[in-house]
Amino acid sequence: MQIIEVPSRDVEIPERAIASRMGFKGIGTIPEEFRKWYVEVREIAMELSKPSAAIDLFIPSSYDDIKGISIDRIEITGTLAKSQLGKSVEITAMLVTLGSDIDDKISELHESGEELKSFMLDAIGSELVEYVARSLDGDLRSKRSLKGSARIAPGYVDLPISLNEWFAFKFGKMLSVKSDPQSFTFLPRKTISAFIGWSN
Amino acid sequence: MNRKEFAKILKERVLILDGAYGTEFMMRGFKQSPEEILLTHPEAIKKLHEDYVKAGANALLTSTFGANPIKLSKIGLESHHDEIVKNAVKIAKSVSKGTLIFGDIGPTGDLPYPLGERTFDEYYESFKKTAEALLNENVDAIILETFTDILELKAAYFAVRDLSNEIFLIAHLTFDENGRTLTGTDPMNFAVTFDDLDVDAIGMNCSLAPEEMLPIFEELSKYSHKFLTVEPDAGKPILRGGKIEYPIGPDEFAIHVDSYWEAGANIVGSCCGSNPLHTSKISKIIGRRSPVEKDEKHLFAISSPSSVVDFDQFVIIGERLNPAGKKKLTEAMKDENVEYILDLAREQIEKGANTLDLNFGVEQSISKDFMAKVVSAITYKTGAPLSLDIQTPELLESVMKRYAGRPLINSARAVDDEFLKRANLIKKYGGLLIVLSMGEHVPESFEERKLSITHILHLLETIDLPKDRILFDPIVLAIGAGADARETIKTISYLESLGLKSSFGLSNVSFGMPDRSYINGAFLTMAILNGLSSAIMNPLDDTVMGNLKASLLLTKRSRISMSKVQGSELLNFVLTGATEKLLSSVNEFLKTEEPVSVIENHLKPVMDEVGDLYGSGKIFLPQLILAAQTAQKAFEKVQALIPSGGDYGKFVIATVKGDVHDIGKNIVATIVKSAGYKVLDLGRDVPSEKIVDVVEKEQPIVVGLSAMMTTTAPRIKEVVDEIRKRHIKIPVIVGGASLNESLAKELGADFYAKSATDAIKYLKQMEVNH
Repeated sequence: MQIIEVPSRDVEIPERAIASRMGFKGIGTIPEEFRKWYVEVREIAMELSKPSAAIDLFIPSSYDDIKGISIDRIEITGTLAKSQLGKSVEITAMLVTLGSDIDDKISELHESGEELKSFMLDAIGSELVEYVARSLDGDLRSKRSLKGSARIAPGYVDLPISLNEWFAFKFGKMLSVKSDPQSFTFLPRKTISAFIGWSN
Repeated sequence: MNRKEFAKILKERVLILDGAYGTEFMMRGFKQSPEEILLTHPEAIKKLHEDYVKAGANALLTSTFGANPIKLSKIGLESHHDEIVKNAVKIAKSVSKGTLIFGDIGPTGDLPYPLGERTFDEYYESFKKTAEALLNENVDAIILETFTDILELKAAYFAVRDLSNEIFLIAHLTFDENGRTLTGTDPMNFAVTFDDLDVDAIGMNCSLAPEEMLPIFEELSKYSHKFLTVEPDAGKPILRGGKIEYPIGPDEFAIHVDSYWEAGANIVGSCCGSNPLHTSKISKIIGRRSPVEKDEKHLFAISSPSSVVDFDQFVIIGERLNPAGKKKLTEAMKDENVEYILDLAREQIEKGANTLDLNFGVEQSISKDFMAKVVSAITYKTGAPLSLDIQTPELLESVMKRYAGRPLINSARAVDDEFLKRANLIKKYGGLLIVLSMGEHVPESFEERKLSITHILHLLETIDLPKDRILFDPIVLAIGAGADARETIKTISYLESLGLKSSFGLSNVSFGMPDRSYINGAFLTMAILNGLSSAIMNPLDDTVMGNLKASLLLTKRSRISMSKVQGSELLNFVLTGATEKLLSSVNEFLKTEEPVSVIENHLKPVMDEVGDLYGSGKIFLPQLILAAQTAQKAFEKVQALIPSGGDYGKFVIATVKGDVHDIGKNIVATIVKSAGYKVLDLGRDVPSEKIVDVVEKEQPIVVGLSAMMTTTAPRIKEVVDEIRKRHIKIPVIVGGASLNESLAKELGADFYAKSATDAIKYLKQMEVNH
């Protein structure tokens, strides 16, 4: 298992992505009227986020129509798993988190009536964690000779969200990430998990 | 000194202009205006001039800032006009020793129609008199200073330039800390408008300290191709011990001088509150320097006093200010009913027009004055720049001269005489010109249109008019009369390949046909795909506007932006997060109204409007949140004054057990609060039993539940079942990414809130039902 820390300021997030996440659909940038808040909140996000990731490589069993594909004694089932991981000879699992400080700040801003900043920080956090994952994903692909599948995450299409429990169990301790036993959501909230399948 | 000689000097070195006169005379114990001092104590004027020359000024301003007849009439000195101007120049020259003399002309102090009563012609005549007197005394340059309105400045410019092509002319506007003049012009607009005119230098003075003025000057420098001048104030005046003081001394002022030089200033002076010590400092720092080379941006744009419309994005030109076939508008033109015309203008702008085509119909029956009045009323009151669709050359020239900004001229055929006449008008008065890609005869094919375009491009070179002053009309003909619309499309594509802008009259294509909207919409889509830059069209036609928006999105030319919402002052305050201003307005209301009335008649209607704007897609989610956050503070303030609390009831909200996603819930809580309800926010990951306990105890009017994950959605049913089990009668509203209408019903909810404002809609409905 590899633990990687990524300085938040090294992560390039296109402004259009954040603008879109905030609901400025189609504009492509943060409107000038909102820039002062954006600049302030982005700085808070960079300051409080501690992006880190745990990444490990697994050799899967061959795909079974009923059981799906297994790694490390878990079964990854569903059509998404079949299409993306079905032919994999290796599977990368990754857990990426920004840590809990940013969660606390989002709540703090909400409680103090700064709803816009709370909302903006939430949006920037969501994009930041996604772009950290993208950057690690790109890094892996550039180093490996095998063909990589799409990066797929529990909860999307029919990839069971309960797989998050395994991610928390496998990597959580290293990153201080937990999963709710009933809803399988992560804490800290700005945490995402993903599989990438590698085939010949 | 003539213009060429002056320009040569400015290419070699930066010049130092003197400092303040009015405020410095006050410091020296005078209470009158400089013009009065000139008549009573000319030696004081001479002494101050001498001090500035000794301090290193390369140019002196004559004491004629307030000497225009309109201004003089306010202090009863209009009969002394010629004497004041003559003596002012004479005194300045007597001490000059090679220092240049700038004849100074300031504004009248009166605003133009429709903001005030003054007309362009009144300004023009007043300034012309002063300019004539200054020119007679052979000043080296004329400087138009401290103007707060672009039309008044334009009138002063023409007053001077109509008298002399040889005099070096400088034009200044005065900006506030928001980078706008009193009547709304920003530095980019100033640069765009005055770059077209035969002025030598533009700049700014007064009102702002060096640090405040710098970013505004830098913006001007970015877009202007003229020499640049600047005179900041020595700070904002302070009243100390009954005396006015200016806080920025020469040393502090000097800190910023380098920055102005770096930003491209060619002439640097100082304004109110400064004195010869400031001039001395400025002179020591940059007095012998060469100017820096600038790299200015070119804008393909038109403007009104308060806005610039850039053709780098698609421009919608509203077509409806044309009396052809419109009985009421024809009557309004005849009756000189400006308000009716303004209503038509506003209607189009609200529907998305960026600029408006203005056609007066039968021009012979319309007076020049009325034309000027309509143009001013529309540009000042709506902010929309105009496309002047005026056929009679004399009338067009008259309106162009009196236009406050940079207009679009519609249009000229590619016939030498016609084109050259209009091209010369835009060279003299400023503006962009639409050239029809047709000669004497209506073209049928693309090839015929291409010949006209080629001919005009050749003519442009011969008259030294850049291509970025021209849009080509690819000629749209009625398909009902047998025209082939594809020839127009080919022309648009050809213009695009040459990097030229295009504009056409869209509705012509469907003339005489049924289903015109569909034809217009489809044709516009095709044209946009091929590179059309703008269209004269009907923004009230939803079908066509829908096609337009979709086409621009699909071709990555979307003009989606945070549109400026036209509305009340309160609406503006909440949408921009101006909490202090909102609270101040609320305080005013509270002086004459009961707190309940302030909520019912002011705050609630504003938030209703915000909800409607969001619901109709006119504002974005962050604007809604900001508005709610801002309004909430006003509600809290007013509710605190109502003994019963003044809220509309309690609203319990929670994110269900197992779900830690609460941003949506938080937004809804803020919006509900901003509508005057008392919100009990239980937070996230809340056990069902706890939610129901609170509901039982607090007896809210509604409970709202949020669930983002599919795994947590069933918790909603758990809460609903518990509520029913305890026989509590309360509606349950639910929302969250994992839900939809049918799932919400299945889980037992009474109402599914799809967006942030739906909860409010439900609450309002409840109010109506009760």
